Amino acid sequence: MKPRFAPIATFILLLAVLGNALLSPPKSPLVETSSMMPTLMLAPLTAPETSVQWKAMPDTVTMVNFFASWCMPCLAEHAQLKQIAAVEGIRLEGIAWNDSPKNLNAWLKKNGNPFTAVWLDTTGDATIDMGVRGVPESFVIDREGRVRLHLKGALMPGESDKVIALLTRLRDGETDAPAR
Amino acid sequence: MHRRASIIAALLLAASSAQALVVEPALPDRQQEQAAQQLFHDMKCVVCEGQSLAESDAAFAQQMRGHIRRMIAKGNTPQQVRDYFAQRYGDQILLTPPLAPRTALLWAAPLLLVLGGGVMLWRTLRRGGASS
Repeated sequence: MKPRFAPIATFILLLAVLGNALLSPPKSPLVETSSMMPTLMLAPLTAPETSVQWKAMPDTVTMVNFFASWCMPCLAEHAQLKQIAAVEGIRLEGIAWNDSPKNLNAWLKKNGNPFTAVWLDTTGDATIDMGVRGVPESFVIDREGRVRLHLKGALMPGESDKVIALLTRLRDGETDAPAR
Repeated sequence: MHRRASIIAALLLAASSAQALVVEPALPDRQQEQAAQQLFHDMKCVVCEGQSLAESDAAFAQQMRGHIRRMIAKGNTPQQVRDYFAQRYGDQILLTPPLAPRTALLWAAPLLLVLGGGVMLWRTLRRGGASS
């Protein structure tokens, strides 16, 4: 290759690499996983001064939602969470990050409380343990206690159908874990 | 008198709870605290672009520092802490990315650039010498 073609060739190569990254479809916010749900240290909203070792209820499909009363996207997904709460036989548990019991109770009273139970993560330990970057984020846990889905961001109307389909499938006995 | 004492007590209490947001207790063991501090400098704050955990005042960064201190206090090695965070937040959280096939080009890039520049310089100088 003659030296004068080198810059042009480099430019075309760079254009191809960057263009490919730019034009490829964005990653879905729904990420499938198969790791076991860890035990978390949480404070129940009904007794915020105490702390308990939280585990997903055995043989029950659970959706865990990290949220906060000060978080606007959490309000945007609230209607979708209510749809999920209406699915029979599953638990929807809320974990509030960086929040106060007073603000939480006011927020739940004003916007409605779709949660089976509400917890507070006062130290950030549970949030970090789950690899959460910010609120809202959600996890779907199957009946064996495996995390099957990590939703990074708010649950938008288009995605809630997919999540509800997964929840009912897991509830109705799909137990085979995804390939590891 | 009793009332004034209770007001002072209330003020002190309020001041101490406000302070609790800012002051982060260091680990009693100096070596452990040093290990934690080194990790703060080698890890990114996930909510603030371009800052390390050591530099950030974000609430989440504070919680991450607390989490790291607790892990170190429980006897985790710095490498175990790094692995723990990389597993949850991806290698991007580490300011020193690990050397792996995936990152080989990243690590080799400075060397390749210097070598390429050297070759170009050598050829230019040689050509210049020949023409004069």
